[in-house]
Amino acid sequence: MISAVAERRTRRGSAGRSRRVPPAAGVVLASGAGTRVGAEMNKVYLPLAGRRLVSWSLDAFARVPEIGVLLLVTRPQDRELVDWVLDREVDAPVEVVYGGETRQESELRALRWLSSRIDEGSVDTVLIHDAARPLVSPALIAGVLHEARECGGAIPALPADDLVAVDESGALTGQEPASIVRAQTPQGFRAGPLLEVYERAARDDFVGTDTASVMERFSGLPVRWVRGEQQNFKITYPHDLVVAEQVLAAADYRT
Amino acid sequence: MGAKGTIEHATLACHRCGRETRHELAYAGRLLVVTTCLTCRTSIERDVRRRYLQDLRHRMLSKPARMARRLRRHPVGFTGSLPRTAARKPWRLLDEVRLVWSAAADARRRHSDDGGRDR
Repeated sequence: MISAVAERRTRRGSAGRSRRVPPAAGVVLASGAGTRVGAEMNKVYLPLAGRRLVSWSLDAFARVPEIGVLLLVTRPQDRELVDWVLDREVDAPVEVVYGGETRQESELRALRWLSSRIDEGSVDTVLIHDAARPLVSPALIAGVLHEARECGGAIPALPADDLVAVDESGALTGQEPASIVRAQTPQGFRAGPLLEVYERAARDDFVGTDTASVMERFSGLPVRWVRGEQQNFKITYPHDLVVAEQVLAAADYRT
Repeated sequence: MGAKGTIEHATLACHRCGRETRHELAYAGRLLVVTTCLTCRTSIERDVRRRYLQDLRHRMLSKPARMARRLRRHPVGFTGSLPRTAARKPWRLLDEVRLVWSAAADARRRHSDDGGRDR
């Protein structure tokens, strides 16, 4: 049962989206690291170039016409901040769901929140995105969505051309690990199989490293990679905020 | 440093500590000016004086539209809070300017220290 629950519809957002409801859902995770660390302020609510980090991702999803449902998974203690951000910085309608103790539990709660719409076919694909990657572009979201609909699953990634292979003793082998890529988000999957797999993972107490790893464990659905974006990096160090701010300023504050 | 700007706290990774720690971040308008790890006290100051002035100009030009938007959405709350926020604004602005110039001086000092070591 989902513990969540609030739905916010801003005036402009509701009017702008009443024409049609495209069958894909964007899930923005803003409940992960902060929950594990404790009651500390979640970094996804830090200001970045005049807006909170999380609202950059929400805005990018809202600008993709095929995204009909936008979900924000957050912590109960961030409720006031979430209300403030959605009121002041986000025009699109956003449904708010409370997350769990882990990323995977948060994803499961989001999927259960969508389950009736998945069952009736009004949501056919789900894209799951980490709010700590604020510079994701609408083009990348649309690309992942297209590939997920074509193949079943898709993740954005960049070739990991700075890796070297070593043997058991730690010596360089001289061989290039040719098939290694660095995964990003949003990761997109057909909604039905994704919900099934997450329910099964919960029953089996399986915890994956990301959405794709859970799918790989329990589903035969092919997962393809699409080329990610250099600017779609994760905010980890304070310096990342400075770089993100400069990227946004150079792009006239558009992702 | 006396000036604070807008202060936020968050858990971020610290290069020196090698783990996630509580950080304090000081902003002037849309710009991040100083970040400080509250565990090892490592701070990073930026010289953003030129960008701050550009940003301030942008904020002043866009202020009427932003105020109108808030007035449309929350007429009672916005009107009620206006006298207080208007009275505080000059002091906040002064605080921002002090933060930006103070951080620039620290950044210059750090840069010249690093340069001295390199030579």
